[in-house]
Amino acid sequence: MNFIQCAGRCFIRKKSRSIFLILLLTTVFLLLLTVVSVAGHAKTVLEKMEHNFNREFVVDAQNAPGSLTLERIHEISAREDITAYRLISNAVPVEFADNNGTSLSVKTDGDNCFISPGFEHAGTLVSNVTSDSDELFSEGTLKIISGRHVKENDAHKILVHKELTDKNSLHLGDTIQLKFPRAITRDLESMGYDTSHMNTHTIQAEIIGIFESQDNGHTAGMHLSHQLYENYCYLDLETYSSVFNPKAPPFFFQAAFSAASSSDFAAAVNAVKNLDWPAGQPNSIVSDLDHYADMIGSLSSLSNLLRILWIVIILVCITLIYFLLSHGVKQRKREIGILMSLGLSRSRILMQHIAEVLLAAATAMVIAFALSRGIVHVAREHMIAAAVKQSDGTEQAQPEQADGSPTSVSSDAAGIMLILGFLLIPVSVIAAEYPVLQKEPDENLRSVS
Amino acid sequence: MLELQNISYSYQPGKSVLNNINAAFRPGCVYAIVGSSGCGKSTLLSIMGGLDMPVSGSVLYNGKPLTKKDLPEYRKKYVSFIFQSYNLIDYLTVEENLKLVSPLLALPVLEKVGLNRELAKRNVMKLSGGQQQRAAIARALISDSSLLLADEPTGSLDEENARAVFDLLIQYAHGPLQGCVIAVTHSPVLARKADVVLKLEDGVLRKENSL
Repeated sequence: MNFIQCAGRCFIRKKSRSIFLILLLTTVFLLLLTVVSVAGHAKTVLEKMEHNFNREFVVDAQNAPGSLTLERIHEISAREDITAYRLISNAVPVEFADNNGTSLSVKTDGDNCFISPGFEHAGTLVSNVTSDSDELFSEGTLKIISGRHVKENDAHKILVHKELTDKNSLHLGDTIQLKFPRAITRDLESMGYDTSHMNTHTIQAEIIGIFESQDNGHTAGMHLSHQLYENYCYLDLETYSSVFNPKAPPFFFQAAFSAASSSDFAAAVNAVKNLDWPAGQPNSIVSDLDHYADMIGSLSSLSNLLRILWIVIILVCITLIYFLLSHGVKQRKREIGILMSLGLSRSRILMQHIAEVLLAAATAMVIAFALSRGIVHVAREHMIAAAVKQSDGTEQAQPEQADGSPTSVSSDAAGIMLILGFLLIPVSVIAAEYPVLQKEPDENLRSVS
Repeated sequence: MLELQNISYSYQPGKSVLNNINAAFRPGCVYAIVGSSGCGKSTLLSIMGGLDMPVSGSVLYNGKPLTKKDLPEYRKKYVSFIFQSYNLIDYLTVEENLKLVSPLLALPVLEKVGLNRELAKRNVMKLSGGQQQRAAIARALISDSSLLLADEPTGSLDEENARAVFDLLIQYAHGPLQGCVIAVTHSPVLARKADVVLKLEDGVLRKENSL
């Protein structure tokens, strides 16, 4: 009768012993799978967050018109640690009037539309290097239907919406006036703009293009009338800049820069802060890291804690299993003595006992794996959400946005479980049985089970 | 076949159980070892069966001294044992206990000791003491070893079954196999049927001419 047959019979017939061993090993494997999987998920979430959120910062110079010139933007983007930059279109409220100074009619009706006092004839003045650089055109939300886009070297040129031209009988080539009455400058100041250098004289601009919006131009909710796409207009950058700081070259109020990596990010931000800003230091340099730093810190702490925890769990489990097996061997000393006295070799006896434990381990692995899928999901959601909540103070688990991975037991966890079950446990059996197998059969036969 | 040269053994220092025992056992003979309880008969049998090593002296099998390294093979190939407490493996059936020591068919041997097919398939823990002892005897008989050591082989048996077992042991020795049977026994019947009776007393083994 070979050792596998013997092992199978012992495993099946010694029910209470087998069930106890399976339950213990299932608990061990379940704990291991959960902790290692959650640690792995936390690490993945962390890496994705750092990858997604930690690479772009926005320089905001609303308080210093004329600081963030095109030249300064190109100087920053030329740094080795900066991989890309994005010019954020300037956008401020403005009042429209015809060539004679008569206020133009703007769109003020529509669902959930609200007119701010003093903004009855106002729209939004947008400016970029070229009008088609603006993301509304590049995304296809707005589309030019006659004329052309505003180009880089244009001056006093403007794009307007079809609704504005229809309402006010305007055509290509007509000139309109752009005004900044007190209501608008007060609004700008409240938003942090420095209006002290502002040229609030009337600006004249020639209509060179007419556009329309592809949808109704706004999503659900309350809208300020001057922010409707129908009330947008696009002015050339030079003329726009001259409104806010007539002495400065063309500039932007905001620009975004992308760092090559997380380590480059900090250096780049510091370098930008330490530049010489003759026209005034930018108001702020904002990054996603400012919002997510605490969250990343919490997740990082959780990940480190879990990593230490699973190593501790493995050590405790190996020790526990060894002592359990040693106790089991003591209970079976007499049986070992009998088998040796019948002429069975030490290796044959050892192989049988290893096979018995492996049968229990394999059964436990299957049960633990089946149970772990649900437990890992719940544990992961709670632990990671708790870490996020602790840092962010909100209920929403923000990292979900960054984490597209399916919720499952990680391959690392499964691998560690297999190594523990099929390698470390048999080694524990050998270590536990070796002292007993070295004795003469008679000494083991004299043991009382 | 088996020779003991100056065998001594003690469980504790200064308290000898066996003192310089010298004996020779030849094939085709039934030996009975008798003595009072606790005199060391089972210990002597264990040493002869390679289950333990003597403190001093040698056990020779076919003229070759047995070393510690030789014992596993000696136990596997040349010796079979009948234990006083049967020592059956408790999670196996009767038939499976026999299959541990030999791939030969178990049923014919079991029938010789009075165990039928139905009992052969039963777990050993579900047998009576007498049935377990017969299963242990069958396990010893099924191996084709030349030396059979028996420690109280008929202790739990009734008279009829005990007589049947005696006959089996004698046939084992006197039959075609010409094995050597060494039995520790308190049974005067078995002692009378043995070819040689040895008495262990005060750690010394002497030939007993009559009982």
